[in-house]
Amino acid sequence: MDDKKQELAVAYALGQLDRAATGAVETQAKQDPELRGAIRDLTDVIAASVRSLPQSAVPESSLSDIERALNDVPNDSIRVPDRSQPVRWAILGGLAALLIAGVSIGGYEWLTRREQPTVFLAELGAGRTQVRPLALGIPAQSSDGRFMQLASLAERLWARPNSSDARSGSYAVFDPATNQGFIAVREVPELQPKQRYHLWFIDGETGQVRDAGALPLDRATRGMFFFSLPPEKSGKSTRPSFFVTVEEDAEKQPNGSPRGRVVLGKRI
Amino acid sequence: MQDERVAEEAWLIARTGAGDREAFRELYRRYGAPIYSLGLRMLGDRRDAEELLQDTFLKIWNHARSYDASLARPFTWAVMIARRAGIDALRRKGRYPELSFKDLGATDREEMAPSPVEATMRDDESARVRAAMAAFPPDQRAAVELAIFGGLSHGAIAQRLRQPLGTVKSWIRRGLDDLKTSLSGE
Repeated sequence: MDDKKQELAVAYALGQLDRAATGAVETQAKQDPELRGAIRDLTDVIAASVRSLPQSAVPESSLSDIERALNDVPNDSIRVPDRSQPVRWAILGGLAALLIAGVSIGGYEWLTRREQPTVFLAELGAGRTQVRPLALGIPAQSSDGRFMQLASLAERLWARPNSSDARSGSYAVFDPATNQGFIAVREVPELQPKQRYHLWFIDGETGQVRDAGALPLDRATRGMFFFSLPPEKSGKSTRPSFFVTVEEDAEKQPNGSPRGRVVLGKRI
Repeated sequence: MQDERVAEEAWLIARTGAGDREAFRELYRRYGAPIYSLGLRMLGDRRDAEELLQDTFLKIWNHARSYDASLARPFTWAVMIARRAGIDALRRKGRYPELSFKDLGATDREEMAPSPVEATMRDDESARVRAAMAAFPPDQRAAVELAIFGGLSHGAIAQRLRQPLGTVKSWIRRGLDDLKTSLSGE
């Protein structure tokens, strides 16, 4: 990496830039993996330095003060997004809340069986999708535990882009028992105004294509996001697949069927 | 172990983003002390540190939905929010604390016993960071600490330490590189 870029990464990570320059670096980093990697390394170092400080006990009333303030803050994130909203990590929270509340979803009983859990890894390349099952390892006792294993797998694949498990760089991991997954995309072209990337699920047994939500990439060209599908009455799919399209009119929903050009994966 | 912790904390952020107070409280339990300690270190005052803690957690609550796991680890994300809030507070007040370059004295702090999980994490990663910091020559250590905990620009650090700007930049950059190496266990 050249000196200028390294200097920029250091200044950004240390918070030495003003608001405008900070925004400019963030935009640049979204398109520049080297800069993004350098920033990630530096901010990890800073976080580790903070962790290494002698820890002081927090004042007792702080949490209740914060929670009182939260009650006064209109928080639109409390709404569980509907299917027309972008896939985000937060959707997962809504699903978790349902699970915690004891609302069952399709396949939940299957979840709790003490069998080795199987998920699917879909490698997404230009014009191809390669899907294979992966064992998660230890049977999870709960949906939360199962989610942790899935998230951990997605994170590991992201951290090792050239591993044999995710050679193409972009991939989806999907748990058919919970209809949850992660989509990771690397180096897709930057979108034009009003365009957006959209994720689609294919049930390989029925050929049915289902809307898995829009990817909130905005001007970024990579990212890893959570998605969930509403449970199907027909039960879990044993042959899932995925593809990503560019939908041209971001204001309009694709009405449950893809219209745009396929940019990742293959539409069967 | 670390992968599991990262996944678990990403999950807590996701649940926080969906309005789950229990997940938010768990994040507070894990991150509250390090962020409050950062506030004390940056601002040098308990009341200011508590304000920074509250400001940071309100931001965590409001921005949890836009957390992107590919850009930062959960704790790193929280620390960046806290540092920015700390730097803003320093700028608003138009002052920077005098750092002693030592840990604040125990008489001014209530040392907290870490939880077993925190202890495991800190024993490993933190010990390596502290050892790497301790190995820096005093002026370089001062420069790195002023950059990380003092929120000062390179120019201000150079002025404070009465050293050429190029020297200070080089100390900080090399210092951060050394800390990174210490974390990777090389």
